[in-house]
Amino acid sequence: MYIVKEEMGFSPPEFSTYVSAAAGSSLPGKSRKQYGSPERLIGYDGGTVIMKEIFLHEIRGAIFGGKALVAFVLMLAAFLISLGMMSREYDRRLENYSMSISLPAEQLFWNKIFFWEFDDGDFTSSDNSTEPLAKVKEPDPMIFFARGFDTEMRQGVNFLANFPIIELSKEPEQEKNLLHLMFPAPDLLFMVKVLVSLLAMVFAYNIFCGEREQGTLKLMLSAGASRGAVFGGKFLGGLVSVWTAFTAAFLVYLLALSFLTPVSLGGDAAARVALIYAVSLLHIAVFFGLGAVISAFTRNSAPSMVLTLFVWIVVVFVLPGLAALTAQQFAPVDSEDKVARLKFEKATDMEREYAEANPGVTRSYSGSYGARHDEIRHLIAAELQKIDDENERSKALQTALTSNLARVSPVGSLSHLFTSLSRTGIDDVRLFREDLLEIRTEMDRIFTEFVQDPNFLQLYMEGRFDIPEEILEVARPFIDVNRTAKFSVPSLSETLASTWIDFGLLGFFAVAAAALTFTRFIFYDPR
Amino acid sequence: MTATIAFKELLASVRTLRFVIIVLVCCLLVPVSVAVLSNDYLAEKGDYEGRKALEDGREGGRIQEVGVFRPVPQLMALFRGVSVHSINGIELNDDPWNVPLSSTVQSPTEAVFPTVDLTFIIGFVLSALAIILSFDSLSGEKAMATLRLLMSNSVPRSSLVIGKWLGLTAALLIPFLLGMVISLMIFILITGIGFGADIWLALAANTGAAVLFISLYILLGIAISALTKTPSQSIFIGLGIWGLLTILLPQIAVATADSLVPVPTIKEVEQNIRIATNEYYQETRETNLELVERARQEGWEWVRLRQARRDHEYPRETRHRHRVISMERDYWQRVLRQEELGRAIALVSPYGSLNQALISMADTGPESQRHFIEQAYDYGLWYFDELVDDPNDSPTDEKAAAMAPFEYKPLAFVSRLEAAILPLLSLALTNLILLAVGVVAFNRYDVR
Repeated sequence: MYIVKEEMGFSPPEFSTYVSAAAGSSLPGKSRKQYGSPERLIGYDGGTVIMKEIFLHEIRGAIFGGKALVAFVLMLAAFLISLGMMSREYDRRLENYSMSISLPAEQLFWNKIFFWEFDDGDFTSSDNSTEPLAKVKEPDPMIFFARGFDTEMRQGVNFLANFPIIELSKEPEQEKNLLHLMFPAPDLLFMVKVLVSLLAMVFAYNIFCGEREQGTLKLMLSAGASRGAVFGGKFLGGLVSVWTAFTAAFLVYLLALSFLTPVSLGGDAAARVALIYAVSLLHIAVFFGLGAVISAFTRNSAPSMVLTLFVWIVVVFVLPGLAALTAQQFAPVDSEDKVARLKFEKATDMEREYAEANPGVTRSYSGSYGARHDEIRHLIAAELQKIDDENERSKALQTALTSNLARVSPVGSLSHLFTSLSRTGIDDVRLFREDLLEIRTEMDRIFTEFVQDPNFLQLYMEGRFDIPEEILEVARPFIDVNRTAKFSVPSLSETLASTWIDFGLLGFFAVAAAALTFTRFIFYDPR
Repeated sequence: MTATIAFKELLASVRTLRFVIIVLVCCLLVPVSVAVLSNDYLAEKGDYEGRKALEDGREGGRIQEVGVFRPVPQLMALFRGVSVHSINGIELNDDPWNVPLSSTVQSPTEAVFPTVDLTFIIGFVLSALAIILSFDSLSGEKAMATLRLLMSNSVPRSSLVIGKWLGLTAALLIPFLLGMVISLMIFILITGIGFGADIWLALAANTGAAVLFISLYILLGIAISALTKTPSQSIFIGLGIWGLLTILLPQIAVATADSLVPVPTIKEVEQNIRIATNEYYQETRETNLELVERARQEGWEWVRLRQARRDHEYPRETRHRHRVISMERDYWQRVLRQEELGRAIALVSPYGSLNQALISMADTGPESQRHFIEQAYDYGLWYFDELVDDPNDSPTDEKAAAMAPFEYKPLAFVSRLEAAILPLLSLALTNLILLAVGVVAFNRYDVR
């Protein structure tokens, strides 16, 4: 007994307890052989053959015992339901998008100009509507995998007649049926996060305690299998079974996606999907490992199951929820409304100061200054941009805090990886906003030029409501920017550069769970 | 006898690890969620007051537009419902574009890490905990061979089932109610706002809904336990049914309603409105061109031209506004029909019922929002019609300032209860069915 302790270098209490119990009089005849030599305990006696046997047995058991089939059917059902729901949502998104871009830009532009008023030798708009000459991002088919921050990327450049001339504004919620908001369509991420993790844990919850209950663990160990071999065979066998079931379901899902929906995953999408698949395998390994840890720490299946479910609830629902709540508490963000109010107050103050400094200036009846006071409008726009930037910064802080806190749970890393690989992650939103600002600035510049064109002014003052073609030519670039401006798409390497930490974390969780299971299993009492 | 069994069951549960974890979840997660959402409530309230002050302090300009706002429901801190997406203000315009304002306090990571509120905790976490608590209540005793001993004491089988149901429900409810009390104290501490009578009534009704919901899942666990031979069978079936009821059924309800009552996308409607608007623009423009021609021939001042333009533009605009509003209303009515159908089908799922009951009572449900929109639109129609009732007279700022301000009348407690009554009945009915299933199945159960 003491040799074992010395070679192991430490003496865990459970181990010495049952070792001394075995040495005591209550169980005569149990000898050192029962627990194996130190070499056999940690398994480097060349047990690869036995390990392979156990491994194959485990997989055969899963496949012919129906467990793998049930898992496959469940995953497939979940994935196909997600596909159906998401394709409905995607269709509607696409429809909305094509409606948005089908508006004849010239016509809208013309309507704008027509409703501008000539007042006090200056142009102002009498039309405050947010009629869009909007640049809206095309829906990305990758939202099937993770919807992520997709809604954040439904912003557009709206052509507001007031200052700042062209404003970024979020499209109002397109979904008017509130039921859709109460029960949002599940994307693949949701199914992997909730269902696949549960199935992986259910595969693992009794791999050791179940064998012990049936008395087969004793038999295996006494038949000469080392603990390392038993651990390796059972762990890998179980894991490969779940992986197989998942792979099959995932392949069918991909087939359905390419044949049943008009989605085509061009470009680097294939590589992204492959990475999503790899991430899912890692995620399964983590949750399988968690189940195995619980199995190695419990003696019976029933308590192991209960503990497994608790751990699942805590890891999948409670920890990410707590992370979000904590971040909201410690890094608060101003509401959109408050920001709008701050902006309004700032603009009003600056306008008042300007009016006091320039006594001759009057305001149009819609309350804004015209294009002639371009300088002050741009000053105001710059100040308002500062308020926006400040708000963006606090949002970014809260986002960073939430995501870092959520990484306590492997589900946090999973969400990051899925959304980033689906181009709907945090970094993608940032990129999108930068692009949008650029387009806004460009449109703003062209429009200002157009309105200040002396020919246009001259014609308008003569009361000509139909602007001739040559003047509209000046507006052409404006319409073109709206049409041709593209949103940049992050390359795969950029995505990988921002997500390596999550790959690392998931890998760490998987290895740590396996290592903990193994360490614990060495001291597991097989009786 | 039943009471003895219930009490024994409660005591037995309290000593287990399961109970400790339930207490942790209820007394940690619930208060944290309520504390954070209380701050959100305060921020929303600040927004409401700010918006209102801004609108009241506006000098003139009320001829073209007038803002109306909805006060924040207090129970938003507990049951957020659709308040996250809801329209809490509308800028009513004299041209047809009423601009809904729906700025709410929302975390930027909401889409990926959703904020956890009480509805979610009860619906997802507590229901799963209820299944975990009860899945082996009979099959577990059988596995340990204690069921045989129990039955040899001439205990009626039905009282055993009822006793277990009451005991286990109490074991889950006590920590939950404790968490609720702590949370309410936190809410009052943070916001410094006391509840009115109808809020207390709504809270009581919601607690009732939670009790019904939790007891439903306990009964489900017991029924499954009475229908299976071993605990591991019970848990697998229990989990499967939990997933079906909580995640899939609401989805299926929504999808069914969508395919039964199809609704065009909002953009399609917007485009139709836009076509109508372009027609209206076109007509206005033609009249304007004629006016300019006349002005040139007769040598008008530009001020007179402007006045002439306004004279024909206002009545035309009013006509157009009414046309657009009727188009919008048609669309809304179809959406409403779809939604109503979806909600009716979602009652099949206990989670669907619970969700609807909780948010209806908390005044954060769809009907509260509809109620506000209806009121606002009615007010807008009345306001602008009244303002330009005399076509020869342009509306003035003085007249606008003298108009009666918008006052939101919140949904009365009775009508909120009316909306919640069907979900509550559905929950109660499912309870009864499951109790019957449990009793019948256990009567046929082989206890050996």
